[in-house]
Amino acid sequence: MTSIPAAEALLHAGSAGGRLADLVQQQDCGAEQKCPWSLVRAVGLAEEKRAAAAWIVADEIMASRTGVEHQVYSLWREATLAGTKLTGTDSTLVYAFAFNVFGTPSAISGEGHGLPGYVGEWLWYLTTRDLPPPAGRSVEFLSAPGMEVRDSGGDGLIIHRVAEGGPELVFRLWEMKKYTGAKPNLTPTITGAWKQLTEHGSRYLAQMSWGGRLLDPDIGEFVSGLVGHWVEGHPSSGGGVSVATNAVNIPQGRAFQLAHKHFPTHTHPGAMQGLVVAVDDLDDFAQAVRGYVWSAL
Amino acid sequence: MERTLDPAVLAAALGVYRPDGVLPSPEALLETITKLEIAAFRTEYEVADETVGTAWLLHGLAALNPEAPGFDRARIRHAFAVSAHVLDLALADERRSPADRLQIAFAAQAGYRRCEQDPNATAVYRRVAHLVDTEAGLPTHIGTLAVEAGVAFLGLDRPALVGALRTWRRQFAELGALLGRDRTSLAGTMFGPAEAVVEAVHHLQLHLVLGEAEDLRAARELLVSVVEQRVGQGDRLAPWVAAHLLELSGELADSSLYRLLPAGTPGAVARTFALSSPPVMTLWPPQRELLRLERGNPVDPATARSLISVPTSAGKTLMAQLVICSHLAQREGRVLYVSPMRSLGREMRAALRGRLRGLGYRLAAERPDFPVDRIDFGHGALTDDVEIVTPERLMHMIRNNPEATLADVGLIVVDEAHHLAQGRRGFVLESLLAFLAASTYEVRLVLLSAAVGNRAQLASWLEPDRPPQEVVFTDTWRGPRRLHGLIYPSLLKDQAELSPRRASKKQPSTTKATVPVAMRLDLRPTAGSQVAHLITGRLGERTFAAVNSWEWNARTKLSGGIANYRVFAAGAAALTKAGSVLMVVDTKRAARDTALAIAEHLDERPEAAALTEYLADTLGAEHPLVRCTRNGVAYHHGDLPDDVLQAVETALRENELLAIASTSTLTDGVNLPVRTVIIHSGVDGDQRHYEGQRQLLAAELLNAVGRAGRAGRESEGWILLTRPYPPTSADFDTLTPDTDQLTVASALLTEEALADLAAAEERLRDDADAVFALADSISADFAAFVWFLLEAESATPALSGEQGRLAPVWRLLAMDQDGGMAVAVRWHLLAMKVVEVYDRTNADSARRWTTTGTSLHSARLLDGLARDLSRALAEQHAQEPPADPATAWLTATPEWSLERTLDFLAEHDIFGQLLNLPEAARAWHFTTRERAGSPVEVPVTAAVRSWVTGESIPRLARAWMPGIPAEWALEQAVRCISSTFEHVLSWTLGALINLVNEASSHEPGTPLLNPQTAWHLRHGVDTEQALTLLTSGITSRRLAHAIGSDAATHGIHPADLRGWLSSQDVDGWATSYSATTYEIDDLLDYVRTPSNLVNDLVAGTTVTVQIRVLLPIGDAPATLVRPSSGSASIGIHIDGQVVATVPPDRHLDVLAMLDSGFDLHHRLRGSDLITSRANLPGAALRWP
Repeated sequence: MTSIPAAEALLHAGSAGGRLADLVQQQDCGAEQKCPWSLVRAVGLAEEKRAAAAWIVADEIMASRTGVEHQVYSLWREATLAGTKLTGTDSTLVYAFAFNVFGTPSAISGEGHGLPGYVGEWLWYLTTRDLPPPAGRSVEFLSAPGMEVRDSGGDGLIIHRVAEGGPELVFRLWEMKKYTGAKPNLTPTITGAWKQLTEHGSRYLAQMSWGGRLLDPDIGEFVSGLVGHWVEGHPSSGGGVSVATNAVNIPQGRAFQLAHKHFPTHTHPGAMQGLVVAVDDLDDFAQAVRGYVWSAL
Repeated sequence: MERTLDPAVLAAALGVYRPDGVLPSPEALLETITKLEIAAFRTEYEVADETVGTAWLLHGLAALNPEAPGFDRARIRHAFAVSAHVLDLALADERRSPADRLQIAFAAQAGYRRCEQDPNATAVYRRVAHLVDTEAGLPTHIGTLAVEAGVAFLGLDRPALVGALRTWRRQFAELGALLGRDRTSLAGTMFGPAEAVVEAVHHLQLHLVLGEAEDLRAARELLVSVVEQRVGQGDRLAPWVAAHLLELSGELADSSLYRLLPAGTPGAVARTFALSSPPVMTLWPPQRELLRLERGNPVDPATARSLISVPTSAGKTLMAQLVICSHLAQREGRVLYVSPMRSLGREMRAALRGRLRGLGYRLAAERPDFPVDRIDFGHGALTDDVEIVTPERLMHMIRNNPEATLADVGLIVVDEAHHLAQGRRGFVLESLLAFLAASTYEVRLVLLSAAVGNRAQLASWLEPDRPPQEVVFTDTWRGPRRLHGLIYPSLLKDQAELSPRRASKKQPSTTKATVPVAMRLDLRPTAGSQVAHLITGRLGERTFAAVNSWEWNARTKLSGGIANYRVFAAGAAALTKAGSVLMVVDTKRAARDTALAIAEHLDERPEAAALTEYLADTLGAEHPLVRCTRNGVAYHHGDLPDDVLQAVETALRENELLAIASTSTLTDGVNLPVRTVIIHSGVDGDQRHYEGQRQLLAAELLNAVGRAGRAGRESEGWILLTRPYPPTSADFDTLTPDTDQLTVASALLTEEALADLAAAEERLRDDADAVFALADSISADFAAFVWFLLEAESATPALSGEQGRLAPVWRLLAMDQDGGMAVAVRWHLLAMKVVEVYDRTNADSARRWTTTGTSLHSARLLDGLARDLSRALAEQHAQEPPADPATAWLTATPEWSLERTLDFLAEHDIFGQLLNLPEAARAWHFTTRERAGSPVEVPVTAAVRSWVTGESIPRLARAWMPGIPAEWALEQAVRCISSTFEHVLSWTLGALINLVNEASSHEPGTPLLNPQTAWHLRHGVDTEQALTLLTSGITSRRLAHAIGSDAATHGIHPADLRGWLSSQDVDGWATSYSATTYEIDDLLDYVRTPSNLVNDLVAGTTVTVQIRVLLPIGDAPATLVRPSSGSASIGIHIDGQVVATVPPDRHLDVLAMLDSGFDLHHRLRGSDLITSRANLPGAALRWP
């Protein structure tokens, strides 16, 4: 966990560009595979840059949760940056908005609450949001991480508008996993994630088909048909697996090369996509994020 | 079951199959679901993620626009139905987290609502109600709060929903208050979506309760804001929930009574159904269809005759309530609800009490069938708006006074009308309907039944001038799925052990085979499914005198070994893990033995402790029923006292009992939350039943089967039929009687009736006076009916119009159904014989013989006895010293006390003589042992005295049968009290005393016997005050006796009893009279001062209630605290301190106000509680 105060982390973040995307490197891999994949690395960062990345994630989480309630966001941010503790009503308010992600400050446990996985979801979200989309595509919808950590991993959805050729709108259902194990082998995690995409992803997709039906008119109609496209294996539908992991676990050779065997229902070109987000010591990084969130409480 | 386990339905839901696709083939899914259904019997509930995933995809597919290519509304409905079914099964899988289960539950609920299986949505809610969190703070469960709100809303359990909404809205308001300033909602934050869903649910429930369009509009706006994702991000579930609620809001509104009741119906009718218990916020599909009928709508007061014939679980009872309440709201005239089954009557009473209270109408207190006397016809009785009666009671009242009984009646609803076909009781109903049809009373008639095959014929009988389709409403809709199975005691032959035995003459084999016995269960989820066989472990053993397994049968079976019913009882006990079990048996003894056998397999059940304590108090700790209830099992049959039966029924509904064994007393029409029904009885037309078993009629079977999976409680029911032999597939057909078997035919046309008619014809061939010899038979009943008609016509010629005095005989169903008329003519000729005798009989005698409700034979005997007693009274009076003329006017009506009346009756051995009437055959008999016991003489006169003094049953049993084992003595005491005191003796004694007093009234100065003696005998109490309570809705004899004695000691006149009780406080009742919760409810209803605070609040009025001040406070805002385990009173708090309580007479109305779901503002000013509707901060939110 970093010892750099939030205010200092903010300065470093600002000097780097202010976005997580400014602190990572992206590399496309496996172009020849049925399932190409990307590697996003926040590896080898200096301590201040690593602190800046953790601060950006913490700040994004709290901004998302407080939304238009600038009073609470400001309370948290100002106290965090000033290195002071909130008390009384102010503490109660911030606590209410921060509670269910990270547990309570008095009950912090090292590995509990699926913390690295949840931070991994935010890494997927922020890098997907801020890094440029694939050529010829624009992002029409990107699901923000949910409010709560799920032990089984999170789901994500992105809808692209395609400039030319094929369906005008395409979506990809993402299954997000974290791997912080000792053995440098992501394959079991990736394999499990493809299976979960089929089994658990169905729920998210179904809920999204209903819950997103009143998004902007053309998107809304497309969203209401997500499951229809999915079960038909329609070219507009695709699956993705994202794994957040430690830098030491970055695949040295190939990865995702057998994805089509574990996800055989969608066979059209571009049906599958992989993503590995690598951070030096993901567990420690996640705790740094949590540390910034809780530092005012 | 068949609705979704149908390959065609599955194929339609799944669409075109892709071999490598995401979805399984219809065949594979059918096999999966079938396996899951069967596994549930083994209490194995694991559902693979893949299967749940399929269900979610079907749920998501239904989001597609029905206009999309390859899609239509039918496919959406099927997709919802299949997904709801699978998700419902997955709910039982306890490996899933609470958050997962909540989402699964809501998806299943939404699916069920969209495929018109509405009550299953409520049943699903009940299974996850404990996951709806109203204890924790918002941050703890904000991630699932929207789902919790959706689940609670679609459960439509209004009191629970209102409670949850109250908590959540308060929590949001408190959080908003922390933010301060001009913040009006949490929109735009992580709390915004869930808050908007909660607020929308609040408005939706208010819309369904009050019918105001503004609430629906507000709810829809809120839901749209969530689905358009304008109120905050991060809550992934809220938009999904909101989208469903938005989609459902229109359907729900269209299903509410506000939209469905005919134009002109006051809004109070819809409101009372929503606010009373059980709450009705939307109607089920067949109920909606009923109310939408354009012609012959039974809710339309212009419809004179209706027959509503829908399956069990279609909401028939609610239909009856709607018909009743709509009638009262729209047209003059009281309503009589006629139920052949007392348990159904009790259930209807419990439901109607609240409905009518909200409308300002009164429900008559429960009265026994007999006696009928001045309590019924005097002192302003018959002024209650609704009375619940049995056919026997109604007919008895009509016999005594048709004009007083029927003159103000506008509607008669007859429930379980197929009882027309059921023997002599059926004839009572048939004769009642025939009388009404032929009379000139303008009474509307609505008949209800789940088991009528010949609907058109009955419709023509009821209303000959209209086409049947305008009289009958029918629908095949049914809520819960059903799964059929057959059970059989199976020998585990491969585990048999052989041993030597000594040969006997009857069993020459020298080998004894000891064979373990298990229960085999054959299941067939659908008519097209393969039968699956399950088998339990060893439950017992049997021995046979034979070496070879093929010889192990009834012929070689040695005595002893596990009996069949014990095998099935063990199976029943095992099935309680899935939900409560009802085992229908053929005799009262079998009910008891079966219940005891089930109880042996279950542990003590703490939830049933209160019932056990009550029963031990009432029946004695050694009574076998008490032994059963300790372990959560009970039995139910007609020989148990009414208050005991009521307690058992209530306990089953409250889930305190796990299993119950009953005769058919409990199966007709009663709404019980039972998962499994086991039929261990013969079935009419089935050759493969157990020897000597009573045959359930097809209608009885259908009703018994209908108890499985009651709508709104269970989404699935299991029905098992016991078999004496290894079952075959054909045996499954026994569970589904066809239309012919369900023909409702007149009891006068049965073989037994015709044999009895032939015997009567023989007796009457040469002597018409032999009509007085007809007794205890259907021909005697027929003759008594004809006699009544003649008397009624004589007293009030207009009764039978211009068609002659035997017109009602020609309106009997038998006359309609006897195609050849040969039998009809024979009955008519019998009627003519009765006419002949009637016309020769002295007019006064003829009238008196009508009133007893007995056969003419017994009526004449009673009349003779009455004349003797009247003479004896006159003689006794003559021997008494003359009264002082100066004070004689004070005793102008010399009516004897109960004590003196009983002395007089004892002196003339009246009770003994009444027990000799044919109506009382074998009612009063005792034996030393249950089997092969010797008779025990229990003097009835002394027994009557001790019963009337309020002595407890255990003490009576000990006194009557000293030396006889307590358990058997108690059983006999209970049976004889029920069948003798509570029935035949109070009936005939009431009739007799009426006749005596009438005869005495012609002799000035002759004293009158206490006219309430039969009521005292019926209820077993000796004070007028206790009697007043027991004829005013209090059901507990013990409580009535305790209060009655206390009131008598304090010199409280019965007329002042209500005020006296109300002057005490509710907690005082509990301490002074040991009143239980149930009993307190009865007392609260009794002392209630009628008002309708909720209606006043709806009208925007501020309501004021006078309260009982404990600590004087001038004028301050107050909080009301509901009754709790610590106090049964409603407390009024200021600054956390109790300063006043709500008096008992206002308790129920204040409670209804608190439970209304309105935001209320209370203020205490002196001794007035002033309440108005207020808005919490969250109720006036501004939304983006």
